[in-house]
Amino acid sequence: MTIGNALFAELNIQSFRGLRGEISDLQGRIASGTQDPRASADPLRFVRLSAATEQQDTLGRYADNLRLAGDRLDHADTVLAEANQIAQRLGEIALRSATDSTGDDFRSALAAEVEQLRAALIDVANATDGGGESLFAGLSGVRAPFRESAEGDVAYHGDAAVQRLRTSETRSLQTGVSGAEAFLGVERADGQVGSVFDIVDDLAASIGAHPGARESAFAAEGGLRLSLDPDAGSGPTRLTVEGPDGRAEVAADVAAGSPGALVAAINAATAETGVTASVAPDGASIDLAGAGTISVSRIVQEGARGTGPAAEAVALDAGTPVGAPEALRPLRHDKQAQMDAVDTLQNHFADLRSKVGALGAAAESQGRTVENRQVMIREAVAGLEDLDVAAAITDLRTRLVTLQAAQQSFVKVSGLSLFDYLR
Amino acid sequence: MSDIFNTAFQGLTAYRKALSVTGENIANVDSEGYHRRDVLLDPAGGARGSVLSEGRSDSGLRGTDVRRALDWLAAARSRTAASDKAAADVLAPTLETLEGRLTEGGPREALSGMMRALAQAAAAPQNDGVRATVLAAGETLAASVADLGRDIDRMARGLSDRAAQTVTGANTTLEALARVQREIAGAGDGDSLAPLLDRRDRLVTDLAETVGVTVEPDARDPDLVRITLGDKPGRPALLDRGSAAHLDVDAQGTLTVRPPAVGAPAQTHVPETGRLGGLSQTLGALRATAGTLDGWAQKIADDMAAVHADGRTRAGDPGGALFSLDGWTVRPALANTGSAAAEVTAADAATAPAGELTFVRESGVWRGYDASGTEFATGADRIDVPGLSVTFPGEAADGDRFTLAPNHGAAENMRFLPTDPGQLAAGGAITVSPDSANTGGATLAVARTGPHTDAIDVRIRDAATGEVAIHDAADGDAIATDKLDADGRVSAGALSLTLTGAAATGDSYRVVFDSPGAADNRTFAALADLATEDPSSGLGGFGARYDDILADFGAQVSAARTRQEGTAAVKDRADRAMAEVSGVDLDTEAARLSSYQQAYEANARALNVAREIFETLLNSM
Repeated sequence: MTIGNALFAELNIQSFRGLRGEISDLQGRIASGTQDPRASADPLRFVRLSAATEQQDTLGRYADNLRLAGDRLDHADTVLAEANQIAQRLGEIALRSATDSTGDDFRSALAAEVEQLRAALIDVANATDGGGESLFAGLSGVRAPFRESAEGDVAYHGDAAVQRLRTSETRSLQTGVSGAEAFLGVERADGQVGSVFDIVDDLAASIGAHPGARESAFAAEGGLRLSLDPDAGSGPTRLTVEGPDGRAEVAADVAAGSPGALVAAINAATAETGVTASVAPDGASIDLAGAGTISVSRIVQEGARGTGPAAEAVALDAGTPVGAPEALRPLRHDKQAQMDAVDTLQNHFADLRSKVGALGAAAESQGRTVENRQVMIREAVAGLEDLDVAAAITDLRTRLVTLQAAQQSFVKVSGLSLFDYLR
Repeated sequence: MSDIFNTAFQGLTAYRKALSVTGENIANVDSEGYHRRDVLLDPAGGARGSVLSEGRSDSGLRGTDVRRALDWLAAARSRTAASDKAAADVLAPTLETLEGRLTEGGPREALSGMMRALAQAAAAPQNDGVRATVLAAGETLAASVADLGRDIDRMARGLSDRAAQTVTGANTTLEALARVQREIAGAGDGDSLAPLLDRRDRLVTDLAETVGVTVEPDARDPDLVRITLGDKPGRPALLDRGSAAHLDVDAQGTLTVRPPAVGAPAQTHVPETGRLGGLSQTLGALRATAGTLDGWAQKIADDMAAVHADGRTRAGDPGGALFSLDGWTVRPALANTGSAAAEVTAADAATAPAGELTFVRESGVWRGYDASGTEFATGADRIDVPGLSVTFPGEAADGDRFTLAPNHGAAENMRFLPTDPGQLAAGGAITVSPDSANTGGATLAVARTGPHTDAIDVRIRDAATGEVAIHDAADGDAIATDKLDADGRVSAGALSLTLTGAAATGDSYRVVFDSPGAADNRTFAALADLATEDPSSGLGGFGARYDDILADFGAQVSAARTRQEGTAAVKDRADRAMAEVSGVDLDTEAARLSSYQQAYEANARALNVAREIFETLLNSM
């Protein structure tokens, strides 16, 4: 086929232009080290690369969250370890204070140390993470969730919720424990749940805050008057009544200043104890009577967390008080009860540390999983995104040789002309 | 004796003509549109008689016929191939440019940044610095989407302008064709005809590259052609003898043809091939892409607004919309004489006046008129009405006019709305806190079915029977007492409560409404979760959807590129076939030159011999 010189030149020029364009593209790819990212260059590769990139972004967010959760959990673990040390020291103090040989001076010193440890516990409860945010405020974001009132009560201003961060497609990891759980949720041996600070306050009270209230039992011959602590408020009250016929534990919901329900409960147990009860003339106290020695002990007022006595008792002689009333400690101020309570405290912090540790371990474990997945995804992305430089350079050389050959052949062919032979 | 003279002279003349034509071919070897001329060396019918000789009928040569080397079928194929290639050459590069814009440095990276910022904010919702990064990331995302939308719009407007220029060129070509046709009609069969035909064919090829056409010989004069639009029957004529049609094109690339015949109705057609066809197809692809981008941006705005509305700000307010796609296109009147411009600085389609708005400068103030022509606002240099603020910078002249056409929902309008970290709703609307004294492990979920804002305490009065009591948290007053159903649900007023797990008698829960704690991160976490699609609600999955857009567009680009390569190959073959018939090959011309030269010399020698013989005869007398 003869195509004419003009078209021959035009076709060659187009061919050179195309080859130069391909060489330029290839050179650009080599310079950037990446393959053409456009979907049109390789639709299948683009689909795989976009999925891998999306996964890479997602894993990056999970890794960030796991790192942040891990940091907060590490901080919480450190702080709870400190709380546990304080609880252990409180246990030692409870043990020392329970020893009969401990004198009042040493007891006062122990009480002072308890106060210091209490202050340290408040600091611990208000501890913050590396970002300065409270560890135990729940979702409230309050900087110091545990605050001591003028009356010495420690109140929680956070909430019981827990912050969570997404750490996988199906899981959100909590980044700590709430202040309510850590410092208000101590479950005692009797199943009641109380505050760390109430236990410490009880210990302080039992050690020496009220030296006159060292006994939790009061006995009298023939009759006694029992005055319940009006500050304890309304709620279930339990106590042990012992009379000539035996003992019984009675319980009733007592309204503040109105002991009628408890009187009825004591009278309901008269057959077991031989003790009868009546509302005293003041309307707030209970008069107990029996044929022999009668006693009251182990007073429990649920909900009452004060450091004062649970009740006062005085012997009666023909309905008239004899001598000064004696303060009665609540059952929780008993030595054994104190040691049990502090023991519970230690167990509570140990349990919390276990929980936080388990969360931290979960974060660490999941972090390793995410890291492994990130490595795999990075490799996948690199395989899809990175240029095979050796192949690209080989391709470039091939195209350069093709261009040179095309140019030389064009020059050669176009240089041949019959006109050279015309004379 | 005169026979040899005449024969040699005729040969000499014929080969001089052949040499001249060969020279013309050589001279036009690179001339675009030049068709090779072939000389037909016809044997003479006979040497004519003269005063000195009798006529003879069996000798001599006459080189009278010079023909343009043209194959109508090859030329038609070449034109069709040129039209197809011109369309593909417009479509593929433009789509490749847009694909590069969509792929690199665009919204995809900004979206990843936004999701990363939200995830980081979920870890520290109380930190204003981290919230500020969400604001910055949101603005970046909105700006990148808006930039992309504007770029696509600019590309579309550029293509529309290019289509208008191309049509102007096509009209010029058609007018030139009409002139050449008239010249051809008046040229007869002289030597000037072939250059005119070459010129006409070159113009036809130019026209075919502009818009696909069908070229047929004129029924009355085979030297003339009749040109119709496209390759289907019934299409309007573009050129009829010496009259040309006039073309117009709109912003969408649709052609309006006013035929050459006087009084013939105008027809509209969407060009399929040629540069105009390519421009029309490209405009269609751009519009489709812009629509897809608008939909994607709207989904981001809607999904994020839905999740954000469920959250609460620090002040307890529901989260507002994060993104807006409301906007107006500002069109100044052509007759404006002032230098003032109009800029929309705030837009909310829900509250702004509906329809097209017009702002007219009258007596030194701007007056706003709604679609019904009712004045709704006035202002010296700005107008603020609910949902719309328009400023008019520059010097305005009375009578200046701007029209605002609503184009709500366009990606180019995308804006990030919050400007203060406090406007971000990080926390949840309802916070349920189990009491620290609870001994059971049940979880309480609360939902509102109507307005309710007062905090409540939910107490389990009897875990065995499922009896629960709801109290006002502020004063302890009982609100309701009811039993849980088999699914652990109970409703009270505008509240729906669901208890899951094992509750214990005496357990209680404090439920607080619209008062999230500073560390409450639930809404930020939910927004960050939108990075992947929730199969149940269909919310989220923006990145994957954008990748789907890219993949679909990539398939279009790939198809356009394949078509470009295919049309180039077809045109290459058609050009080769055409060139084989009409092209000038210098080697062929050199060979012919040599041959004609020898023949010319031989005829000259014969003439010389005849002269010598004639002189010998004269001298012998």
